[in-house]
Amino acid sequence: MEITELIGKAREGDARASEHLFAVLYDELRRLAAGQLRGAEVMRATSLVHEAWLKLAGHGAVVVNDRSHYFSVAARVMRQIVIDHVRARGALRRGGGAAPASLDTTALQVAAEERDESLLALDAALVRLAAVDADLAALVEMRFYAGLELSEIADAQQRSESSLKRDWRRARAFLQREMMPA
Amino acid sequence: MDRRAARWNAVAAAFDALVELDPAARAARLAQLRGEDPALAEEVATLLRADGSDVPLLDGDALQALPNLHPGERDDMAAGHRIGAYRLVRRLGEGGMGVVWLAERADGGFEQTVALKLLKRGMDTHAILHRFLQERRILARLAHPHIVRLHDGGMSDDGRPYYVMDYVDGEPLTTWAAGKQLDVRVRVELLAAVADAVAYAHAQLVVHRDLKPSNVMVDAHGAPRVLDFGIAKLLEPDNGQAHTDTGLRVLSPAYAAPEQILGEPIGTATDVYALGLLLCELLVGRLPHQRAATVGHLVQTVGDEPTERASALAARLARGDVAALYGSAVDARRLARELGGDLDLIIATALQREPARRYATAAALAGDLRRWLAGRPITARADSAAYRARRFVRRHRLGVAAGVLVALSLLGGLGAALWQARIASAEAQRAEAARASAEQALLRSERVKQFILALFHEQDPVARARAQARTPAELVREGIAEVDRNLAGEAALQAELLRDLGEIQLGVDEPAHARDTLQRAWELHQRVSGEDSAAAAETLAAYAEAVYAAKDVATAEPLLREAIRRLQNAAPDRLTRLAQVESTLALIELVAGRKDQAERLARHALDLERRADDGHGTQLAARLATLGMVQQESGRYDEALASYREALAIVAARNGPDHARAALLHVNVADVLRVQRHYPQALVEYEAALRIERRQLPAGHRLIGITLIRLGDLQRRMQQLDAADRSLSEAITILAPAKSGQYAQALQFHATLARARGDFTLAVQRYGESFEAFRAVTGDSLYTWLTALMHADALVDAGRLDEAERRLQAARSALARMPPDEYAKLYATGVGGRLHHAQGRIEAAIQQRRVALEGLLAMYGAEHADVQEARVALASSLLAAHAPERRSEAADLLQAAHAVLAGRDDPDARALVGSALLERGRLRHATGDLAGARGDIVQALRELQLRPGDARRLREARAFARGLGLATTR
Repeated sequence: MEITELIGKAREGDARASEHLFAVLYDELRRLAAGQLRGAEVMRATSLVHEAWLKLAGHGAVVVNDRSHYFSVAARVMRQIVIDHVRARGALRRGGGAAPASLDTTALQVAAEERDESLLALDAALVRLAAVDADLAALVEMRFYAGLELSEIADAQQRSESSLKRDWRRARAFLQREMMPA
Repeated sequence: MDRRAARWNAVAAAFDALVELDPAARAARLAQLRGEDPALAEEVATLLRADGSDVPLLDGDALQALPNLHPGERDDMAAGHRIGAYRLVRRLGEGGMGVVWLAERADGGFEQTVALKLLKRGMDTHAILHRFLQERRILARLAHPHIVRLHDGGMSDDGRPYYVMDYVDGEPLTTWAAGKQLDVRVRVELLAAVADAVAYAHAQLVVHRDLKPSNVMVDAHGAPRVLDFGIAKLLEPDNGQAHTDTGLRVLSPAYAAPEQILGEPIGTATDVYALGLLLCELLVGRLPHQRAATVGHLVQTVGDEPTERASALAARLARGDVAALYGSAVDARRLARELGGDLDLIIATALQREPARRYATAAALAGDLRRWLAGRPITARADSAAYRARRFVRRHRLGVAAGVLVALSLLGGLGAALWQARIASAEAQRAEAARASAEQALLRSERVKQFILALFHEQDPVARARAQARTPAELVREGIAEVDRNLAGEAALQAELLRDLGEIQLGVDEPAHARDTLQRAWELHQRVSGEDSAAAAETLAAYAEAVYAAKDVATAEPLLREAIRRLQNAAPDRLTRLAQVESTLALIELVAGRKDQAERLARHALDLERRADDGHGTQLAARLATLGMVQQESGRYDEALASYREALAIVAARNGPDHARAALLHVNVADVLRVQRHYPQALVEYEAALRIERRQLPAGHRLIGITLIRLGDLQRRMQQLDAADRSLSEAITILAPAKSGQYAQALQFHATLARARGDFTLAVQRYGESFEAFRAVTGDSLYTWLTALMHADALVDAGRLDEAERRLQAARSALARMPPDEYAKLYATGVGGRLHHAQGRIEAAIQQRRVALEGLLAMYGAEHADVQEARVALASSLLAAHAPERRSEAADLLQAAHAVLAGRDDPDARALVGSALLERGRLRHATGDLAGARGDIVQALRELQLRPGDARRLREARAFARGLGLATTR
């Protein structure tokens, strides 16, 4: 099934199409993420999401709504990929003993490992945010997990960037408060 | 909408309204809100606080927090794979830049196990490789017990850059220290050793730029080893903007100094910063700052990022954290106490935001760490008198107690306090003085380094496009202006730097500026260091060299002698400098014709340099070349060749066979071989010189032109006329812009070539141009007027006899005004003879040619080629007189010439033989020996056809042959 078709059906509420779309995107994005890792050091989630879109949707004309829906699903997919990975790595570390000695672990990696806990905390905070404001949680998914710029989200959702900026600031404050040590 | 969501909507609205306000207005509105709805106000307040704090995680994107998404990811290289001369053995690890392999040499050269780092794809491979090749030699020269040696590098078959270094079987410094649960003192000692290594590299003008725990390993013997020196620079994008994504991706943001993040200039202080971070992490297992994950955010915040004290970090460590670092016997409070005070201050000094406020050098940091270890006052706190006294008392607790008791009994409390303070301050002053002198030395090397970096910066095309390009010479002049501006108060340092910069000016071929700079440096040194100091003597030597280079030989000579005297008295250990000065003086003696003095000096200079030889060999080669020149001028060609060839061997062995210096020596060797008439060997040497020059010098460089002149002239002598034409034409093109003496020389050689090819029009033109060029450069010199004579000679060839006569007259009267020169006089006489012969004024021609022959005989003896030419010429005029009584003299002359030339096979000799045969044919014809005349003329035609330059004689011979009824081919 064409991705645009899937998106269309998912948008109309087709639960199976929605599930299928998620799975397709999950595989594709995870593959792209892994592929990109072999090349550049700094990954940009946004380019992954865009790349997947180009690949899946081809170069055919797409309606704006489809694109918007794609972004929100892709953002959720990315969130899932990240959290799966963090959990898998935690399990690996707990079960796998010491990590192999590396001549050159970048500080970024060290920092990243220290952030696993924060990522899990963020995920939990996001669940709480979704409970009071689902749109705000979706925005965080698009901004943080899919790495989209606010201007792109504004385009996709046909909203003003300044109001998105306010939303983002509010969401950020909420999550930060939730994650701050008591 | 449920209650919680409704509540959140109210909170959100209030937050949105308040967050935009300034702090005062915000506080007022919050107070108002508290009156209306305290719970709501409280919730908004916590949100506002959260808004004001840093959320490094959220401000990045998720994947940045997860660079290792595929921990099991492996690329396609496998053990056994071959890269360059190395075979991969075992994978050691993987990092941000690439994969590290244990490897061994695969070319059977010698047993060697190394670490080979294969960079990842996606980096700017070509730029990296280019920079790597440029810097490889510098990096490979870093030889220090605490630096991991770089061996090699290149590009793998699949196009990825790699480099090869010593394999260190160990673990990162921080991990190792924790594993061994080392105490604070041992950790500080380790870091001081690392700082030593960094200081050493700085002295070699290499900045690490990426010091972090994974780059400082501890080997099996417990010695720290710093990896990847200078590598970060290779991986940076060409425009040097480190704060772009591409730039920072090769850095580790957590360990980068603020100037690296902000794209400001990077220097030795950058490494000092990293050493500070390393020390902090080594001591407390934490970095003193928290940093944003995204580059953009980091750039905004790093300027005023808070840096925590190491002791404060230590105080907050959990029991388990401390135990993991130091073992369970140490607790956080004790650790915090040990780090508080001096170590905190040392770290804070290294971590100053402004590079200029950090320790000036890694050596200064190492110095303070060792002072701390010895319980002595650290320089970072040298301004606190109370501190010094406290430190002093702590160290001499017993002694002070006793001293104080004695002093109290003798002098009372005040005296004791003064006494104590005086000793403490003397101690601090000593430390201060040591620091000042060390820092001054390092400041000097830092300035020189910055200067050199600036030079390189200008070569960067982006910088060049951005700023107006400056030549190295201009840069040096700016450097001098800066030294004068900034260091006017520090005369000693100013003098040192002026000497360095003056010598660089000499190197970039600005002798007049160099002379002025070095003169000032000398005067300064005489004032600050004393007239008889070693520094003044050395600077005088440099100044004298510059005066000589500026071609003021008369002034240079006494200065050089004075420099030798002063160096022998004040700096007898500066052998290289002394040798250099003696060598220059040798050249002056040589030009003055005092060959014995010249040789004595050149030999002595060489002996000195052989004793001093620093292993680089440049100076030794230069001393050998000077001796070679002296030997060459003395006509001892084989000895000269031996000297030049030894110099060549040294340069080849130490700088590589293609070093630019080797080119000059090849030219020297070729010059000697040419004089010895070993033409084919000389040709090989000139071509070698040219090959090197074309590779090492920019296209169109003057030296290439100068070598081409010599090569072209040799090719003409070897009858490779087309090749000669190419060489000399290129030489003229290269040298034309400067209109130098060499340019005039090239024109003259090209004219001589044109004449040899029978192109008399071109010959006339080129001699004319050469004459003008010589006159413009050298004025009324011998060169100018000898060229005028050649011009007149060529005008005779071209049949333009009136012009020839005028030019000859001018040359003769000019030469009469100059000190007599026998050769010029004879040459003028010879040209006069030719001209008169061509004009049909045979008696005048006979008279002049006779004078010329007698002069040449006296000068060269009977065997010289010029003498045979003069004999044939005189015979030709004698025969042209058609007077029987003169025939026997002509016959004798031809017989004599023939006898000398008979055994010779070179083209010049054979052409002369042809000319002589033509004349003998005429003689025999005149005496009625027709058969003999025919025989001679047939032979003459054969010889004269060999050289296009003999076209005129050939035409005469053909006309004569036809007169004899012989068929000649046209």
